[in-house]
Amino acid sequence: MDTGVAAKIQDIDNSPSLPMTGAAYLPGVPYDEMIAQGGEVRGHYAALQTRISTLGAGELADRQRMLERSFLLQGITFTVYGADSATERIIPTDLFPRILPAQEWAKIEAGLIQRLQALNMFLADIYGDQQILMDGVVPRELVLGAPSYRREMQNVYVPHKSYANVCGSDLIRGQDGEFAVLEDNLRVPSGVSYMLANRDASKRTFPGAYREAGVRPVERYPDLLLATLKSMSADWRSNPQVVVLTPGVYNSAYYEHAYLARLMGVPLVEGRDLVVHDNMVYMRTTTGLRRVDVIYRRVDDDFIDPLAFRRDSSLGAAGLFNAYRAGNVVICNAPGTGVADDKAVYAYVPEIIKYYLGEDAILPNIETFLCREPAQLSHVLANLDKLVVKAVGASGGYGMLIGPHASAQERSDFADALAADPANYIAQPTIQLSTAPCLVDGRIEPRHVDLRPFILSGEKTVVMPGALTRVALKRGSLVVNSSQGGGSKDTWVLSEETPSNGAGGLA
Amino acid sequence: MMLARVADSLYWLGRYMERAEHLSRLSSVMLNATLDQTDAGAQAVWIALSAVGKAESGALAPFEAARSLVLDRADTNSVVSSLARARENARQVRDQITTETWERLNLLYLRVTDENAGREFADGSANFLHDVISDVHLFKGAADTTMSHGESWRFMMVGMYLERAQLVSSLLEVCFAEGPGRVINDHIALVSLLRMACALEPYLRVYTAEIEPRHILEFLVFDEDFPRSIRFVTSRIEEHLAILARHTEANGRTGPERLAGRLKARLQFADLDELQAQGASALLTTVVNECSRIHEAIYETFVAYPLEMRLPA
Amino acid sequence: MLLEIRHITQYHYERSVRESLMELWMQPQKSARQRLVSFELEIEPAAQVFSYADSFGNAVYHFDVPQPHDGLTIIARSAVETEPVLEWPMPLDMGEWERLKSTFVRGECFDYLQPHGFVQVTPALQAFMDAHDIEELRRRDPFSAVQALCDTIYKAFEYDPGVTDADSPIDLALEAKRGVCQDFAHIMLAICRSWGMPARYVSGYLFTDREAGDRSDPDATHAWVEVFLPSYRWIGFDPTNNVMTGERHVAVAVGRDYGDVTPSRGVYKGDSESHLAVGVSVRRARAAVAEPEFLRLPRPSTPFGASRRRASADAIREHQQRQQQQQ
Repeated sequence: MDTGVAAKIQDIDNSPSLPMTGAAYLPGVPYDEMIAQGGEVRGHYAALQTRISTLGAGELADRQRMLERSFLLQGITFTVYGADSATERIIPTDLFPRILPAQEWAKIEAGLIQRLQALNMFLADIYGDQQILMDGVVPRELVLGAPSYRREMQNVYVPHKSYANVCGSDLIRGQDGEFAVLEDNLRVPSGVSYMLANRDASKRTFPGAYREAGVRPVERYPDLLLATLKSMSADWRSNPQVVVLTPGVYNSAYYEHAYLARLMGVPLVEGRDLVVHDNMVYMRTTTGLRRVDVIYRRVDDDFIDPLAFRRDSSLGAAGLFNAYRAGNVVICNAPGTGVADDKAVYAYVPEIIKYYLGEDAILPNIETFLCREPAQLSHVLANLDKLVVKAVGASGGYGMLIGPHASAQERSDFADALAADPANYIAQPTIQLSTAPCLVDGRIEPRHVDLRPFILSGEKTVVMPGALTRVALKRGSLVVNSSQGGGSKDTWVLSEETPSNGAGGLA
Repeated sequence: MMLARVADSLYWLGRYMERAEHLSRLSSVMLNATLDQTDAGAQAVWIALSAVGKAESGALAPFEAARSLVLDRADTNSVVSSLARARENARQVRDQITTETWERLNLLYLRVTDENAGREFADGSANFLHDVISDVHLFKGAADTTMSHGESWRFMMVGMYLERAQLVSSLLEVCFAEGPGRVINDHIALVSLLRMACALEPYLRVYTAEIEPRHILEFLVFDEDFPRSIRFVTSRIEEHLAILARHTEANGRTGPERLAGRLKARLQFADLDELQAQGASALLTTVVNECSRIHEAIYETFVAYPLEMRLPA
Repeated sequence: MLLEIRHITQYHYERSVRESLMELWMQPQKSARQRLVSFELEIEPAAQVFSYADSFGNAVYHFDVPQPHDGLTIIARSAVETEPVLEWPMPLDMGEWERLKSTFVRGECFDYLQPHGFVQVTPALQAFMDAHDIEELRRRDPFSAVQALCDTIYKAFEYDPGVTDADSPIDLALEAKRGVCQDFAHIMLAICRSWGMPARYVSGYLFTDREAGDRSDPDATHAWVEVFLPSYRWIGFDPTNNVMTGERHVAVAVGRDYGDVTPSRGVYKGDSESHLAVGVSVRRARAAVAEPEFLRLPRPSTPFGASRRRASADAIREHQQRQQQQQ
């Protein structure tokens, strides 16, 4: 998961104080999801706000504890690797859902479909005729020089030209209240199990408010995922055998792999369970070898096949890629999708949308400076204290500098790194993420949030009407990654006929 | 249809859960017996520690020995290690077992690995162990009532019963094998033995309070209905393996179901007279060895079979 | 010239291994200047062979051997008719340097202009370039510059199969001032690319002619360089023998470096080291095709990545699982 960016530490004391019955909540200074600038509660939050304000602090704390216990019990945990030990932790989960009204969602949905459609066309092009490179819309070396570009994928047939079957895009809402795309995740995006677990929990915590608000369900994700995966298999396999490929129990997202396999009712396999013979992929079962048709892999490109990619990988199956190239098995997401979510290619996504679809991007990008361009590099170096700088190849909130929060020493160290290898960095302005109410140490406080919706794309493209809202739990922090002290909360997308429409008005 | 690796994990899940239960019970009975400062108490300690191959740790105070048997994470044969491994195996096959079953195991694991576990054990080992054993029973009950009794469940059962056959055999070997061991004849020590096999109440219903070595042996080896008797256990192993083997194309003469059938028949036709004439060792050793062979055959048939034998035509 | 080639590759394992998968870059190219008359593969233990074209356009054959085996033999036989070169390229004008900078060339040959794998301008190579006034060569037209570069490399190194092996970086040869065809090709590629001249690695065979001054080993596979000059398109230079490629050269595969076109590579399962023996014979057709005189144990390379001890496999797996990036 990558990071949210934003600005100055919130000065909570200077926030306007608001009349709220029960729990007093001081909204964040930038855009607050619940409270509008005038101090009134936004209409789509009314039902929830009413409920929260009637619950005492003790009751809220009890519910929070119940929620955490239920996560721990279910084993919804990720593993943190320390110097010499590994501990299992639950991703901190916040009690209060984040709510999005129907018309806002409609725009997000249209924007995500447009974006993924264009990115899939981009992938089909750069692994095919490379028209967009010929036309000079995206610099050739940016694509062909990216380590995530897989020459092996050139001219490989991909059904429906759906390269990224599962996409988890990171959106943020800035001060103006508009959503923008911070990052596209087209490789092996994770977090969907938290979306489902959070929903399960919030339905139990706020059943009344949930019913009243008219929330769109996300529970169909597993069967939609299965349908998407099946739609990728060759037409003549009437009932394709789908499997989920996991790196194994030590992987931090293992819970999610097992969860999805269980809910789809398909085997969860590791590389060592797979055998390639005569260019076909099989899994070892107790009764012999069984043919595998579609692999939903949660293993990085580099590791899926030691014959084709990293020779020392023991997580994949040797020969898998040859079977894939021959059309005997489908790998989802396709190898080589990473080049389209490369942080430098990101800067060109609006042009990519225009090039293939002839449309303007519905969801804007964050302004991005490519340090590979000398002019932009000098701008970045001159404004390090205002910018967020990210390494192109890194993710998970590593290898980045949040200028306004960094010390002079950190900035100067980063400037050296930048000057040494400019092509490896991009920079973006620091953006104030919107805030949402969270329960922190028994108090309701604003915390910065982002939004990760999930898009499925096979024969059809579907956006799940829900998302993972990631929360920077440290006051004022802008980093929402789970590996960096981030948490998550449920996201309610309201249906059109939501009864609370108009009550407080939208900002 | 199930992955070979998954079958392996379920099998070990069954084994480790059975082992955890057995070790907890041995510790509990042992600690209880030492409350009386008699020779019977010393005998109980010796039985329990010998049965787990730790007779040499008799030098420790029984409480220390029990604590390490239960909570020592460095010892791969402790309760906590067994549960950790059971859970690790369950995590590998999380998609195969029901949420109810998983939650029982996870809860138990969290209990024994809690930072307060050591203190809880010190404050009241009897309660602590009672709760652990109850939790294992809840796990087994959840598995029984919520999982489909198909392949997954059967592999777990085979693991559980094979482990049980070996544990009960070792316990009996310690007490009744001919040779230089101790002779266990003290009434209270024999009661402890029955408790260790979780057999006291069922035994009393059959033999009344006449606690005699030959009856204990007869009960724990030959009883048809008692779920921890070797005859009962081998019947179950044979039953599950016979059904599992039905789907396997490669049936060899060394198939585990055939080995289990042979062991079952051996116990079917043996009786107490034979046992006493030839000595208990011979039969118990056979049981232990045959269990190892069944274990290997399970691997060769279901898990680590040679690929070239199973290639699609 | 009609040539018959027999290329024998033998893997031997100390203990039985299983589930071998192997890919072969062994089929001679089909092109205007060489006609592939026949190509066949003989594999022991027998296996079904599949093929595909890789992203550089090479024919790749692959197969698997599931059952336990302690050896694997691959015999590739081909017959190739090569065209004699009737008109050798002539020096060009200096404008060719400009033509090399065209968008078309830079786009079409993107991969052959980048450092990759063995092809790197290392400090040792930079020192070599300085010592031999390599930059001076650029005062000539591109064709003459490459020809002179080929000559420089030929004269600066001695042919010696005992110094480097299949996965040696160029620094080893640069330091020893000796090496084999692969080292010379990599060095030449790095320099050409640093000049902005597209250059690719070619693996193949040479019908060795001692009389003509060839120094390559006749019992081994061969490698040379092709550069792209807009006026001639791809033309071949053999720095090992200081000639332009002609009818005695049989090209098999092209790539960015040796790593793209290893004649054979594969993985297997098993706790055993592998030993590789290779024998090549290139004969004029109609002359009796004999077995190679001997199967020599060449460079002690292990193109096999999987020959690790099993004891550590779990640790490796765990480590890799962690390395997986979370998105």
